[in-house]
Amino acid sequence: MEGIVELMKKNNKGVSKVEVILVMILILLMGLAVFTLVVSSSDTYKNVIDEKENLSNLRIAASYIDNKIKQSDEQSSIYIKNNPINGEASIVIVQRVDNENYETWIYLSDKMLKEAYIKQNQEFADDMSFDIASIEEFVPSIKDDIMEITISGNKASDTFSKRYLKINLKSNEG
Amino acid sequence: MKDRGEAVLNKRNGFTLIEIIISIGIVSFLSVYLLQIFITAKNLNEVTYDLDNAVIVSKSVMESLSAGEKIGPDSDDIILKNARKLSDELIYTVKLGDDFQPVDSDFVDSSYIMNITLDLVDSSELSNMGLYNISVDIHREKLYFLKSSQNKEVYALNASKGLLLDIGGDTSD
Amino acid sequence: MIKFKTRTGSSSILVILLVVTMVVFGVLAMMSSYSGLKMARKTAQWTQDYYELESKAEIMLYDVKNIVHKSIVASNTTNQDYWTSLNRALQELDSSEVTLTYDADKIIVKGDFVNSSGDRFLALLTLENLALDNDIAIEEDLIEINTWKLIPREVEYEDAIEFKDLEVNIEND
Repeated sequence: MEGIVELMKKNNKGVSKVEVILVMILILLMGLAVFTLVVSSSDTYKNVIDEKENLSNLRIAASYIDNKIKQSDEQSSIYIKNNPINGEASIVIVQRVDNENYETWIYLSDKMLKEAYIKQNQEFADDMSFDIASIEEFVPSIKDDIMEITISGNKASDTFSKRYLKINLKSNEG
Repeated sequence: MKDRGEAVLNKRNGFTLIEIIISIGIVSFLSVYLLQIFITAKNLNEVTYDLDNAVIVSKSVMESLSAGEKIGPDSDDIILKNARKLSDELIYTVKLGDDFQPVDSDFVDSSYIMNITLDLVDSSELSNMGLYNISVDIHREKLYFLKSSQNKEVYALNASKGLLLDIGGDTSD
Repeated sequence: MIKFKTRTGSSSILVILLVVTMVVFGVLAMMSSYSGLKMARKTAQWTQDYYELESKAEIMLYDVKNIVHKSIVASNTTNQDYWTSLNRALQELDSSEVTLTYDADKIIVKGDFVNSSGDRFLALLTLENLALDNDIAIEEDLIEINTWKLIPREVEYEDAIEFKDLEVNIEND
């Protein structure tokens, strides 16, 4: 009881100890609030950027595959084959340039969609190819005249999503 | 009383109570608007997700139709399988969920609605084929975070294709 | 050296720093999301343009299919009648975009469609004079689609990079 009264006595500058303590507590609270705000805004920023990155990767992959196939739909020119690097299904597009057959391989390796442009039957390695986009899953297949491709982004992230592409290969008809 | 307050403001070192209170007031007032910026950024991502997926799904429907898939329960395509005609006109509706895949049940609220409109331009009984103007459009049903607008059109895709005249299958009206 | 005349008002610096930090993060997030949205819109627009262009090829294909069927019906199922009426009927397709090449036992229909941005769509069909068989669906056999592809416009680079020819002196030993 006496201690509390002691705290409330004003010293010679006109400020009591209780006032000082209260203000210190308020300063602390304000510091905490400011710190929380800054941390939460930086976390939000990181989340927004990660989500945008995921969307961007999937969009680039989907758009690239779609463009590439629509620009090369000729008879017997597009098929699915296992690539020599990791044995997974990949898209092969054959083009004839200057009396030579060239193959474009679109495949997934090391969580990266890659494209390699080589002469037909040439052995190729990862370092000969160009990176397209960073995705985790790439599964192409052809059923009747329709090419179906499943791509999906980073599995560990909160914004994981899949895309199912369908392209009609009209020139395989007939 | 007033003198002592002024003395505290002018002559004291360190923080004062009023100063802190005013700062907290300013911070809380401004943070409302600052947080709106983040909410806008998040909503922009949501809109981007919608548009990206709507483009891919509309394209896949167009490509399936181009390959000769039917519309209705006996189709091989997942999306066309769930397309239903709501009236006599050639407009098929598919309910899509959050991941833009069809939702089966009528009890679950769909997040997006896809309408496939077939407009017959030319027909020929000889080949059982007709030239259709196909229009695929996707609307969003679910609300954006802290926004009230609803049922906004996300994407519309138009193409002309030659399709079988009995594309809708044997669905009775 | 800035001399602080009074220690009061120090918390305003904190407020200012806080607001600046949050505004920077917010604006960066929003700009990033907005750039993503712009890319998505570009893709969406490209898709619409592609289908607009491809529709012209689809209409050509539909016309060819119709003509093939009409010729089959008019031919009384002899190959020569079919071929003659086909040759005659196809001439109505000849235009600035569709060109026909006639051979002894095959006709090549070439559709070269251009849109306003300079993208081209190339469709090549081959019609062969095969033996007609009543019972089987023959349209797919008679029309062969060799090419159905988009040829994008050539991109012109705005800044021309000029290389100067280097003179190489090869010294012979």
